[in-house]
Amino acid sequence: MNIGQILFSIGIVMAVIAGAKAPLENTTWPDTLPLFGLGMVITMIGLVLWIQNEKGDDVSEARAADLGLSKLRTLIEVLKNQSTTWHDLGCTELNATITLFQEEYVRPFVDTRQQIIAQFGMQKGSEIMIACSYGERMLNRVWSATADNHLQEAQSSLKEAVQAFEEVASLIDNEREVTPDRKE
Amino acid sequence: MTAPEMQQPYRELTLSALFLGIIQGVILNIAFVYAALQLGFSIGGSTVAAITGYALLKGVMKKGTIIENNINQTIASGINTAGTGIVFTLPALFMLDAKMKLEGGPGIEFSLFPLIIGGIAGSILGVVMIIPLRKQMIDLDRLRFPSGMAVATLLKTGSSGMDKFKLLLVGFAISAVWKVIMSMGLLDTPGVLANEELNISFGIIPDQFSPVLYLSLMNVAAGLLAGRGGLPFFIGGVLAWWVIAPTAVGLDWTPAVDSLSTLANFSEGSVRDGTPVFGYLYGVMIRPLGIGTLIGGALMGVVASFPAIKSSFRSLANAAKTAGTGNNIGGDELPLKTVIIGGLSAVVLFFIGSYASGGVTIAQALFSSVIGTVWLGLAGLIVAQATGMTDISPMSGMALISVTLMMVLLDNNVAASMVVGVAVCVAIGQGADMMQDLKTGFMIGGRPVKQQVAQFAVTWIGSLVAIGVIYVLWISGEGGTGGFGEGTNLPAPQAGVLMGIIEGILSGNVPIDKYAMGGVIGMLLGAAPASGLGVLIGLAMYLPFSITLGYGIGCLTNMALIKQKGASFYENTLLPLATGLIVGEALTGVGFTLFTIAQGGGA
Repeated sequence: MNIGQILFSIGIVMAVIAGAKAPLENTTWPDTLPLFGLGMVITMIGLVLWIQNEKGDDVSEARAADLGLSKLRTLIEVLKNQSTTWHDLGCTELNATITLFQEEYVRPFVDTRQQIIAQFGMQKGSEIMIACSYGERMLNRVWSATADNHLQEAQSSLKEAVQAFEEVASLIDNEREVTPDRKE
Repeated sequence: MTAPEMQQPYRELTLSALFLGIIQGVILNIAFVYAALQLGFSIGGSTVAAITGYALLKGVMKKGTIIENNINQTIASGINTAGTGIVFTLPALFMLDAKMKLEGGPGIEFSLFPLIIGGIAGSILGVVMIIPLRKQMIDLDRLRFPSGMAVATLLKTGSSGMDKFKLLLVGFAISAVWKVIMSMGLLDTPGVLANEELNISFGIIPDQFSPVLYLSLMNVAAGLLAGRGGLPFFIGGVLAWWVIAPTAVGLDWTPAVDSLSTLANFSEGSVRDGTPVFGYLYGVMIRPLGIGTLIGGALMGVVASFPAIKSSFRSLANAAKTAGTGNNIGGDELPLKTVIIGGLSAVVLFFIGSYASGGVTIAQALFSSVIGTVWLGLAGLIVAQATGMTDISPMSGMALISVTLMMVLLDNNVAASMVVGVAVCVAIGQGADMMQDLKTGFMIGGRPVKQQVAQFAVTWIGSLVAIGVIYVLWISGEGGTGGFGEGTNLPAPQAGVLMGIIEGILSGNVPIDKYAMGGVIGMLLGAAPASGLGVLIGLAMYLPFSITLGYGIGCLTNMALIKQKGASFYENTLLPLATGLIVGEALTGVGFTLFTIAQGGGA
């Protein structure tokens, strides 16, 4: 815990204790209002320090985001290279393959989403993650279709999943062109 | 592959799913309204509908699919959930009217028509207002929505993954047996265990630490599913009952009590009823402060979500442009035009319901319908976020605030305020339910637009059914009145609390200080770089610690197990087992309640 988090916590505890007291009869506010105010000031100081500390972690956040980008690139690469062979698989094999793919590539990438958004900003990061989510949902649809023995739907959904992740790749590449000094 | 099913379209939004969902939804609505009048809480119908849907669509009709069953459970739970919003609010109107007449007063003039209109308006608004939030909550924030995940597991393990299904059955059996034992009071011991609550004071820990554990495996399982993400919720409970409460007692902020004994009256009922100091701490201090914190945290969450919500509306608008006609059924969401038309239509219905309730001017009806809609949107966000993080919905708190707000705007007109209260509660229930179902849909690959169309088309049925059930139950009492309420087999505890609040407002007694100070606390918590802190801590202060404690045990167990056994343990073992625990207790609890009521001959 850093000093900002400590002050934030102390301030919140002071404020909730002070705020919990019931007002005396015929008054609207409890007599602990000054203590509540003090708690709020300490909380705000702590909050500012906490946020500043988070920004100071930009280097490690950037590394975590780079790791997330690396996982995403690997995911897209594997999907593009292997998905053509997946079209030759039957329902059972495709179901097992998708399950493995999701565990090895998709879920580890999803865990780094906050860092991706932090690196690209809320707007661009949201677009990237929403496109990824669409691709992930299509992979889930592939799983369901194969479980229901509907290969045609599975293959159609697989195509959509590949397209979604290709769009993600192009969103990242466009962002890289705009900010070429950012390194992976 | 040339098997015949390969040539058919992949079944998703079908007539079979539609009709099965409606039938199940109506049955569940009736049953759970009845149960909620006795228990004070309702149970989601998604798990029941998913199990039945699998058995009928796949087992009997031999052609159901996972995503078709998802549509079935989406419809059934949507119709059922409308009943929850009604049963938490409407009975208070009947009970208050009867009480006023009993005391020699004129009672409250009201009719069912405006309430039905309000319920339908709420049903529609609840679905449309949650649509722009789907991307933020599910795609970006990846809120867990534990029940939604549990239902997805059910839908998927029905057709494969027999090992997970067996684990699910094991969980089901364990919690079902446990629920029967608890419901029958087989282990009840005076002073130790009563009403499924375990006294863990050991004769040492005083009342103000709330040393009680609600012995619900469903509660623990929800924590198991939430894991680290639910930890702030547990911390909020600890803050309320291991910091605020003992400090307040230590500083003599509570009324003098004979002794700070360790649950001396526990054997007479829940700790809430049995210990005066607990009642004061919870009812006067912590709960209202928690409501304020919850609102403040959610307000800050709205501010933080503005970029993503803007992005959602932009996406909706772009989809409408590229589709040309705007009727892009094959796309991800309902078209923006539909969302806007649906929303405006619901506001008009809202206005009609307010105005038709009597004693309301056109200006007041217009003002309250606009303010009510805005509040409904915010309340829906609060409840959806809380549900997404913890699976616990603060609907009753939202009901209290909604009615309080409207009584201020409508000159203490109880009937008109209740119309808005009903609409808001139905809407936020629909919104949270829709989000749970969309989470399920994400996990099984369903198209959100089909779920939205399905629920949008039939959600109004739930309000009609629930209002009808409550009316029939009320007039089934002696003399055509008093069929539920205090002193009957259906005590309607949530409505009783709302009735108390209304009586307090009419007499001028509202905790403004708690709401305001809690709001500031919540906003600062919400501004912290830790997602959802304000909402979670506010929620924990609002709920009894006996529930928070069990949930926290589940969260800590999840964290310990994943640390020891790895992340895949969650997917392969913890998720199906916890799902079974939730489903087992829910079904057994309802079945046991209905059996007991039937044995006792009803209200």
